[in-house]
Amino acid sequence: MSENVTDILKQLEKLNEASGVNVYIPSLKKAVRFKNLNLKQQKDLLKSSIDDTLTRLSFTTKFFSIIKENAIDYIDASKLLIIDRLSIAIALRSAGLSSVYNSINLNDLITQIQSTAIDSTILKSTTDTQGLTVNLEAPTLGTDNDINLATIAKLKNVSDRDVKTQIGELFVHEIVKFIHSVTFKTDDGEQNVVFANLSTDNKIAITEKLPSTATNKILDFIKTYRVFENKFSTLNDVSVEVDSSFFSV
Amino acid sequence: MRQFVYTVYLPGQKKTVQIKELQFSRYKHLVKSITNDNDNVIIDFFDSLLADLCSVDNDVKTYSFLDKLIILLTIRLVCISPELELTGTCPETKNNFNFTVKLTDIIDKLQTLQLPDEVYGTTKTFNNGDLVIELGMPSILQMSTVELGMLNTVFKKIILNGTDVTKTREQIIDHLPAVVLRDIKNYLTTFNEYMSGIKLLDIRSPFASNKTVEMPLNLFSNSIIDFLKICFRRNLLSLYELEYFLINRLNLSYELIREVTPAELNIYINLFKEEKREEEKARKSSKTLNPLQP
Repeated sequence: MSENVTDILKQLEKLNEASGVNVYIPSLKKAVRFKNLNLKQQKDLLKSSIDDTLTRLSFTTKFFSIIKENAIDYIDASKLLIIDRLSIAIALRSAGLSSVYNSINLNDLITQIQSTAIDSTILKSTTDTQGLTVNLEAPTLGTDNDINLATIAKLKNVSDRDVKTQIGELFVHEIVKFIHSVTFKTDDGEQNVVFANLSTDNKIAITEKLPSTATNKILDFIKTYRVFENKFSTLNDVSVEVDSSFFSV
Repeated sequence: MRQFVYTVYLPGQKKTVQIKELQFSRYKHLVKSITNDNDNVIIDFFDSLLADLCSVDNDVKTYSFLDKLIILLTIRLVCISPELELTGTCPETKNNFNFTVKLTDIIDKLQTLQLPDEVYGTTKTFNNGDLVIELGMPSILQMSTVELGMLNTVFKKIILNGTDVTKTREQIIDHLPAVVLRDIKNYLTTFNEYMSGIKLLDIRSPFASNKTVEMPLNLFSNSIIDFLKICFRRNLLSLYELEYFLINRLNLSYELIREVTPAELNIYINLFKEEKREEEKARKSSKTLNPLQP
């Protein structure tokens, strides 16, 4: 690449920064400045709908990369929550493409997000079942991304027509995202296993061994969390589906 | 030696360009590609043909699809034949019928479309003028073959902080703000609204006067490339037979055959036919004059 092109790219980078947008990050309770999407990022997001129609995993992993690349102010993107991802996606869509999406004024949704309180009990919970304690936590974008990448790798070898296997894998991977730690009662006392210290395969192996009563309680927690999460993408009972189609023009 | 050239006016470029002749050998390769029926290969062939035959202008690959179509039809008209003989099927009765189309009529129509300037191009400004982008008619002959890649073909000029950076287009397009995509979509929507009503062919059926055989000028379907295939298609075997005939019966050298246009080869054949007719006439008249002839 010639020096001339390098210089032009730097100028474009500055232009993208200058036209950046302040995005409210709910988990940080403050605004963070982001560069608007560039054409390649938008094309990648649109292409992700072709990559996986069922799972949307490509979209979320690509959008995680965009959060890291486009943040102008320093943030640890891996510590953010999924509700933050929704807020960022909606703000970038509104500022960069159009503030109206499917008749919804996204600026109104952004205002609503800023005033939506986060109840800490929704983000964390503990379930006790048959001497087994499972500490649950809303997944960070880092955890979400790690598990999504593992899921993509696993589903790569599953036929598109094998929907049953696909759903089974997605189900267990989704549960794994929400488990912070598991404590077993043993003869010697208790054994605490922190999921962050385990490989994805081991996380899945333990999750698959959990009794169904524990799994049901985890699912209740996830369900409650998802209802809360939907507040960040719903305006006047109309929900915005934040996926690759959200970034089409 | 300077080659013979002919000219054609291009409404998108707003100028007249010179075109070299399509030689028979090149035409044979084109017919082979069309016979092989791979649209991507055929489009590449037409693009390389344009680049070679309009080589006086280095920017021909960035010309609009409409200008490219006009050039290709002019090549067809001058170097092969000015008429297109086709068979159509009546949409109502399903009966086949033959018809002839004058290529000059189609070229005239494309040159005088009376489209508003905004269809030929539009200028968009971003960041208080730091970035100015000129969008224009796509330069590819078929949109569906390249999906999102086609976006690149509508950028005609990029000015960044007052400097024209269009030459670096390929390297910088991905780094442009995504908001340009919205403007591209708006431009293409306007463009398509105007284009959708234009027809390359609009032939009334002899079997049902209210029915017509049509071919739209639609960049978002196969219609343009299909029309070009119709214009340049020929039975491949007939080209080999023609070569055989010209070499064996007319004793033309292969060098001459490959360098002249198909239209010129037709002139040789017509001259040969005329000569044969004269010979036959002379033979018949000599028979008539001979009183001893039984």
